[in-house]
Amino acid sequence: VSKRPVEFDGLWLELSRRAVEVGEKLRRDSADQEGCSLREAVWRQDKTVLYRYLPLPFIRGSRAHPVLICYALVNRPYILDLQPDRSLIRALLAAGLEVYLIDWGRPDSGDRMLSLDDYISGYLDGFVRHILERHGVEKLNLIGVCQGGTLSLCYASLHSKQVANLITMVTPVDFQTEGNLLSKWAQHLDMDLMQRLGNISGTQLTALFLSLRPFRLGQQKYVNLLDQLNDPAALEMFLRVENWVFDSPDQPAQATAEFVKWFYQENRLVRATLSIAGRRVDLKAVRMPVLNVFATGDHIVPPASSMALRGRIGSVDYSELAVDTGHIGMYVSLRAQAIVPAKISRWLAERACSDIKSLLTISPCCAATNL
Amino acid sequence: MDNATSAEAAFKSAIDRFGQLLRSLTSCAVSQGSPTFGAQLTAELERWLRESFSAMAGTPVFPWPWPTGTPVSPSASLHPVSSNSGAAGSAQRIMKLTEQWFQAQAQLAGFWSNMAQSATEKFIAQVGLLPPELDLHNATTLYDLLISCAEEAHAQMANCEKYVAARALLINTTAELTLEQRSYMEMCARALGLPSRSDIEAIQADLSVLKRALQANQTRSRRNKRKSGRSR
Repeated sequence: VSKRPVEFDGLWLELSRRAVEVGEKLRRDSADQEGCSLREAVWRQDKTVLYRYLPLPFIRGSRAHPVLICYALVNRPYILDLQPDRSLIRALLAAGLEVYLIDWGRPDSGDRMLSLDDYISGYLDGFVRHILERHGVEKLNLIGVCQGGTLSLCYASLHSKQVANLITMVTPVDFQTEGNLLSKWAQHLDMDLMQRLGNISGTQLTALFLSLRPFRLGQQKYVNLLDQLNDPAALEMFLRVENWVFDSPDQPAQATAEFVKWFYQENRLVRATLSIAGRRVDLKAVRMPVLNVFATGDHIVPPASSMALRGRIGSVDYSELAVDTGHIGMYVSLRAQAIVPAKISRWLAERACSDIKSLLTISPCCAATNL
Repeated sequence: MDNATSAEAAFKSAIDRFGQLLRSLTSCAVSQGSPTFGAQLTAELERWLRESFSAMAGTPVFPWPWPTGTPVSPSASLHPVSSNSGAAGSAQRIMKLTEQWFQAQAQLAGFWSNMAQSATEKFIAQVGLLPPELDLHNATTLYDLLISCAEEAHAQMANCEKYVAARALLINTTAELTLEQRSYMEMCARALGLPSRSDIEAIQADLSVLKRALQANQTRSRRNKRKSGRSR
């Protein structure tokens, strides 16, 4: 028994030394960094910005329509361009695609009355039209990520003519599938009260996501980090992801209340009872080709929630890609990086070819002129 | 707090908790079978859960000293600045909601306590004998086992309907209490001739109506321009 304090001191010293080292690195690497690829702002409305990513040098442009990425309102979109070897955006650029990204900005109390209608029929539609005009085309490819995928589904249903192909990534569709803890927790919340309180704090939202697995996400991942001190690349990536996790903008009161009520509590999307701006959102109206990408180990959007899209849309061209990773792993894991961007660009290229073939079939002269 | 600071703070508190846990493990290793060992672990896990929940749900502001856990009397001392009956009614509602809030918190604490107890029991059943000496390697192995047990117990509790209802009750009560407190303070502000949050929100609402009308006009004029361009 008398030996114990000595052993503990040794252990504690080692732990403290490592903890201080990691803490310092976290501080050093805290510089604001929102992605690694070059981009330009091409359209702004209120706090939202549309970015166009500059093509990579020596890459031949693809024939596919321009790609618009619609990220969630929750968290910031730079997770899709975290660092050169973990960037969906960079991989799409490398495939020669024209890539645009919506940055929803950081809503403040003046934005508390923004509704889902404002986001879908206002900002998103505005961005789509801007890109269509800029490129002189009638359609674009839409990639919706997480909650952004749900918004994209609504948009594609209401404005199907503007969307050539739709890709949904880790997107909740059926919000009440078995094992959806987030949904279970949302069921009894009084969203009218929450809305009256004002914008939902981003910090509290981060804490909510972490509290789904409080011991693993609030504890273990940090302690595991102590073993990665001799792997600077892994540590650096961890720090980038960690800074992103805590970079959670406040959410506009009305849009959040609507999202929780209409989607989580009333599951209107799959029950076909959802209306945006007085127009019914019907998944059967989603007739363009759809690629649905989901993570098999996702605890925020369980795979069953995404897979519910199958058979519910009007499209006859529907494919799925299941990736063996988690929600955040879908953006940053090596496994997802190896599979997802390649699949997306191949899938889009195939559909671009079939677009051209169908043009040739319908009117060879017109098609030849267009080419 | 910026993101890096938040990440650093989360890291630091996780490491502190890990250190605390190691301390418990080391001091208890010699008396593993004793009730102290289990009690310390349970207390640690309970604390982690409490911290995780309050980071998520927040805590209402109690601007006056409140003896935790005591029943609240509607006639307790909350003196409205304004003497009108609205302020007195609001003060009473705050008292009632505060009592409800403490009850809901106590109910939830009961769940956390049971969960922590269950995780500790799982851990003790699986751990076997603690190693005589703890180095960083076997400490993290033990820690990983504890985390697995805790997550398993948490998943069981988190999915239970009664827990879900208790959790929502506390969150809803926190929101209602905050709103009532706000409305009380607004009455005071109005009585003193000061602008209130509601006044600002009313202005914001007017502004957003105007903004929507402006955007609709702009869209219409863009469409008209395009149409006239085509017809030319």
